[in-house]
This record gives sequence, C-alpha cells and structure tokens, in this order.
Amino acid sequence: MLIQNRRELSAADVTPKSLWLDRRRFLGMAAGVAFAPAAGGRFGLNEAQTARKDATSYNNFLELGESKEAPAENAHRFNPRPWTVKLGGETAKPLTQDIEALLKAFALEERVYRLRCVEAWSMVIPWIGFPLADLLKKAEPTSRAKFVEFVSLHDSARLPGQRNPLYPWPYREGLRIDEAMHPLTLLAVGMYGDLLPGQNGAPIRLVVPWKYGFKSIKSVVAINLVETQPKTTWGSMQPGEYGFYSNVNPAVDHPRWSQKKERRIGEILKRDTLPFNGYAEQVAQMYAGMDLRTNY
Amino acid sequence: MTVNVRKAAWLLGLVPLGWLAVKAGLWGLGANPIEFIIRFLGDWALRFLLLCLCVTPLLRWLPRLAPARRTLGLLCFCFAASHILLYLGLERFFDLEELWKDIVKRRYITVGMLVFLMLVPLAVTSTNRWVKRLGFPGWKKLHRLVWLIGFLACLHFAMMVKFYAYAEPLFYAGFLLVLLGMRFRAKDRIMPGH
Repeated sequence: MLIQNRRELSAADVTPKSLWLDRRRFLGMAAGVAFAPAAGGRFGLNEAQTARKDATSYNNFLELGESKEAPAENAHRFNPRPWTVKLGGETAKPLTQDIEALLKAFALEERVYRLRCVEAWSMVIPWIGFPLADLLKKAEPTSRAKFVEFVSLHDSARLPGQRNPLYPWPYREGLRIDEAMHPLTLLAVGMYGDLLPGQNGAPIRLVVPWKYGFKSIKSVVAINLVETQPKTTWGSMQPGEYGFYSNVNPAVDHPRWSQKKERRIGEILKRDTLPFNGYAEQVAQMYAGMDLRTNY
Repeated sequence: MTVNVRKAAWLLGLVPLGWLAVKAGLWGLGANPIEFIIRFLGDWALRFLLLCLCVTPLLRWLPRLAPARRTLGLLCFCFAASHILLYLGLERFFDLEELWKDIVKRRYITVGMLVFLMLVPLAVTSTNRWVKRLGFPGWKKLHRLVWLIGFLACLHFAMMVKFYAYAEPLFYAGFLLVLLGMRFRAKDRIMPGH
C-alpha cells in the first residue's frame, strides 16, 4: 500500500548512496508499522489526496528559491545529511539526536491532513511521522515551558536561498505549549510513503494542520521550550499580515486577500475554507474565550 | 505594406498564446494552472502596453511600423480583458457582491480595476472614425491616459507580489520612465521648429 508511486528509475539512480540506504531502512521500517488507513481511522480523511507530483513541485520554501517551482528544481543542492535535532530550553533532559536515531526512536504513522496555505490554496497530503508530543515528553518540559520555538537549518551552502539578505535567516516558528502537545501536531519525516523530499522540508518538519502552512516549519534543527512567546519569521517581518496563531479562519481575511475560499490544488473552482481547516472539533477548545480577530 | 505590419503585429499576439499552449501540452502549467494563466495574461497585457509605447520612438528609423501601434494597444486590451474575465469567473465566480468587496477592500484589486476601466475608452476610441470624431488633438489628449495606465499597472503588479519579488514590476516601471523621458526629449527637439 505504501509504495504507490512506481518509478522507472530506482532511487539509487538519482540519490547518493547514504541517502538511499537510509531510504531503504525507512521503507523497511515503515512497512513494518501498521499505518492508519488513508480513509477512516482516527486521523483519516475522506478527501482525494493531492497528486504527489503537485505536492512536490508547488512549494513555498524560500531557502530553495522564491518561485513555486524553484524549491523542486533546487532540491538536489540540499543534502539533508548529516542532520541533528537539538531539543533544549526549559527542559529537565535536553537532548540532541541524530536524524537516524530519531527515525528509529518513534513509531511512525501515516496521517492524511489538509494543508491550507495562507495564499488561499490547499492540498491533502499523506504525511509519515510521529506526534511532536512524543518527542517533547522525552525531554521532560519544566513548568516554565509555555511556548515552543522551532528553528530551521541555517546553511547557505545547502540552502542557497539564504543568501537573500532580505530575510532574517534562519526561519523561525512557534507554537503555544498546548498546541505543540496536541495529538494532531506532527513531526513529519516522510510523505506519500517515502522520505521527505528536500523541497518539502527534508529530513524533518512540523505539520500543524489547523494553521496556515507557513507555521509548519521545514527542515528543523532546533526545538526550544521557552517561557515567552517566541518571535516568528513572518510575524516579525509583516506583523499585520501574519499573526502568531495563524489558525485557518475564513472569517478573518488576510489584509490583501479573502480567506473565505481556497483553491484545492487539482480543482478549478474554489471551495469554502473551513474554520481551523476542518479540525475545529479537535482544536477549537484550545482557543475558547480568545478573540480570534485580534489573535489572528 | 501597411496591412502586413498590422497583420504581423496581430501575429505577435499569438506568440504568447502559442507558447502557453505548448507549455501546457509539453510540461503542464504547474499545480495551480488557473493562477498561472491569470498571471500570464496580466504579464502580457503589460508587456504589450510597453511594446506599443516603443513604436513611436522607433518611427524615426522605421516609419512603416506606425500601424503596429494601434494593434499592440489592442492586444494589451485583449490580454487585460481576458486577465480580468478569468479573475471574475474563476476567482470570484461572477459573484458581484464578493467582487465589490474585493474592489473596495483590496488595494491591488482597486488599482487593477481602475487600470482596466481606463483601458476601455482607449480601446473603444482606437478606430479612425473616433479619431475624426474627437479631433486629433482631443483624441491625443485622451490617449495620454496610457502613461497613467502603464504606471498604475506596474503598481498593481508590485502590490500583489511578495515583497521580495519587486524586481519585475520595478523593471517595467523603469522602462516606462525611459520611454516617457524620450517623449519629452523629442518634444524639446521638435517644438522650436513648429
């Protein structure tokens, strides 16, 4: 069920050996795990999945180029090995883990999530990963851990888009601790039954399906538990357009465009955007009593 | 000869459309083809406007190009009209209430609509009969609107892109400034002799 997209070339023809050895191990491991079925199940979704080709060729990843096509075209320059993820800040047991160890440390699951970009387009993507909460719990956050800050890789040799001086690199994002611990919040290491491609945030990225896509930071190297709300990249550049929460909300427009509708990639006409991207039942209670117009 | 220049100019209009068809057939238009086509049409409307404004300075050396000016202007209008029609149909579903909200609330839409509204009288009065009816000086005055249209079109472009992508609209605005500067210089040269 997992290897749905057969290719004429094998991964070995286009990928460095160390990577495809990883991939083999990953797939071997993945095959051993009973994934939640694509439809139904706890995190299932009865909506057609976006074509893999579209999800891997229409990306916002400024580190690999500014257009939608550039990240896929430049991904070959981005080698996601070696890679370590540092987990620190307000924790009893800060830890630094190699990506290989991380891949083995947690049970991987497939989660089919809607992805709603702040630019009013959306996709349905089968991710593979584990809940962020599983990793955070290992580090034992202290009572002072109120927020979580995420940092992307800062290495302009591997991510040439970072030579662009207009941005305060590296990319940063943040979540409130309850959002980070929510069972829907995923650290993805794969998609469509395979390792994450560079343009989708290899080798490990955040997926927060009820928030606009830019919250789901790619290519994460550091996760810090912090006491105060962390600064985020878009939030500090254009605070009026990109708020800290950025929950998908059709009732609050982006200053330059409406958020009422979205174009599902692969469809012609736009469809209605759902509050919290359709995950209101699972997440709305976290924001009870909050004014979501001011906390956009 | 006149006819040929005009025909050639119309054929020029088919070049971007042909390229769009080839790209669609061979490589596809990407994951969001609607957005691609709408932006493509907008880009070419602006490019034809600039090409149209290049004709006058070139007449010193290539007087036979004169008839192409009208055709290029009309091509700009055709691309702009298709740009707006697709936006109305596929982005706003001809929902007039939504459209009005967009025009009032989103400044780049306001500017874009204004540009199109100003293009309409220029396209309508592009015929010889209208030149006669308005009288050449009056007609010329009306058609000076093209400069405002050009700069506002660049503004519309710049307002909708992410802030790192200003290079292209700025380039077009700079190009437009150069063309405008050439008009003033030409005037200085010619006026004393009149």
